[in-house]
Amino acid sequence: MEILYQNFAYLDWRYLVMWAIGGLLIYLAIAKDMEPTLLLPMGFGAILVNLPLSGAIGEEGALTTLFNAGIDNELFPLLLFIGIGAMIDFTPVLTNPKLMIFGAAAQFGIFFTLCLASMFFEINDAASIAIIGAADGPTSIVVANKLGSQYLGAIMVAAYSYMALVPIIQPPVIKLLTTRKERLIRMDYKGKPVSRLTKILFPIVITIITGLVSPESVSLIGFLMFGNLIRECGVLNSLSETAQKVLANLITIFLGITIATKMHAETFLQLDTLLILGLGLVAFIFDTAGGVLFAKILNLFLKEGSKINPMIGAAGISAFPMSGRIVHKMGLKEDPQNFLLMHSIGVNVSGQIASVIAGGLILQFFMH
Amino acid sequence: MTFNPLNFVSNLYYMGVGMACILIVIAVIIACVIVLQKLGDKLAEKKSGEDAQ
Repeated sequence: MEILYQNFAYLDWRYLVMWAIGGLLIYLAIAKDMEPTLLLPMGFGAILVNLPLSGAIGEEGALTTLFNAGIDNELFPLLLFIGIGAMIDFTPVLTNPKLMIFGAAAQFGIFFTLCLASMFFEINDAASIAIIGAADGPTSIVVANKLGSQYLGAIMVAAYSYMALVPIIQPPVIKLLTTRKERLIRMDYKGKPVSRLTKILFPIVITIITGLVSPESVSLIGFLMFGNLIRECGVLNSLSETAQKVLANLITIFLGITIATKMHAETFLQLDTLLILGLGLVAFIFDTAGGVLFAKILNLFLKEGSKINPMIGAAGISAFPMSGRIVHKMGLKEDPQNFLLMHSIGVNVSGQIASVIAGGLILQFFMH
Repeated sequence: MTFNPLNFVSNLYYMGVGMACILIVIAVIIACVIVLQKLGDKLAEKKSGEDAQ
């Protein structure tokens, strides 16, 4: 009978805390609909790895095997990027490419957080924490892994939790940095048709330009753009559908539950984790601020009638499509006739590209 | 974990270079997209001209 209760002796209060954290992630996923595709597997995985002498981890554990097969070599996030690329429609940004500049400006939070985090952590860990500001799971995983960060679990929890909390984080920051008059600025949308040739050449050109500037980002940008090329070429509809649905869902299942391998109580329950969660929030806040302030600075040089609504700068964060929709809703709230959706979605989509470039640059700076 | 506030200042270099690089790359991409659009428009015009004939 001893065999029934002998493992209870290995129960530690830290495991109970991790069960609570796992339960909280599951609750947020189900009851609050916060990034359920990732928070639920991560929450459940956190419980699996925090059972005493868990067979899911360790040398021959299933989660360890999956981690080595797909996360340690960055394979899972890259395959997920194919699916994400196949889901993205770049038409809003191709119609008005100048909006891409706000996607760049909204990566400010990454570099600000890098400086801030370096006060507390070694530079590779600081850079891995800063990339939470990319608001992009695969980029965060790839960068944190390549830089050998020991905080992958905390970084992933922070990244995905804050992506889900964008509707709560962004509006107060936007309101703080803008006046009502600025929020009321209307922007006309002229929906020019985009040729099929442009849509096909776009992912190829982006890959070449970004790859030449930042060779470390070739896998990230390449897989993202490959997915997009499958979508836009028009002759691979079944592959595009598979990438968008089956591939993306399959990899998401494996990714979520496997990331939890890094959520073992011993490594996760440290003061560092709280600090990382705090720094992740700072990254998101300063990303939003960077985009909005850049738009305000540009407005100083623009004539009346062609000014930019600075709220769309906030949509440059890579949390697609949530951030774009939030900005649009805020615009409608101020003026029910002010439709910012196509502009904000265009900026939001360009943020995806800019965040990958930022990730590549971070690797370029710190990987060697 | 150690607290070293001077690191904030010493890493401002990466902030400056990083943001500058992203802005420049995005500016180049914008220019390429504008060229691609003009190319696409010209080819479409040419094709509709040929179809009309």
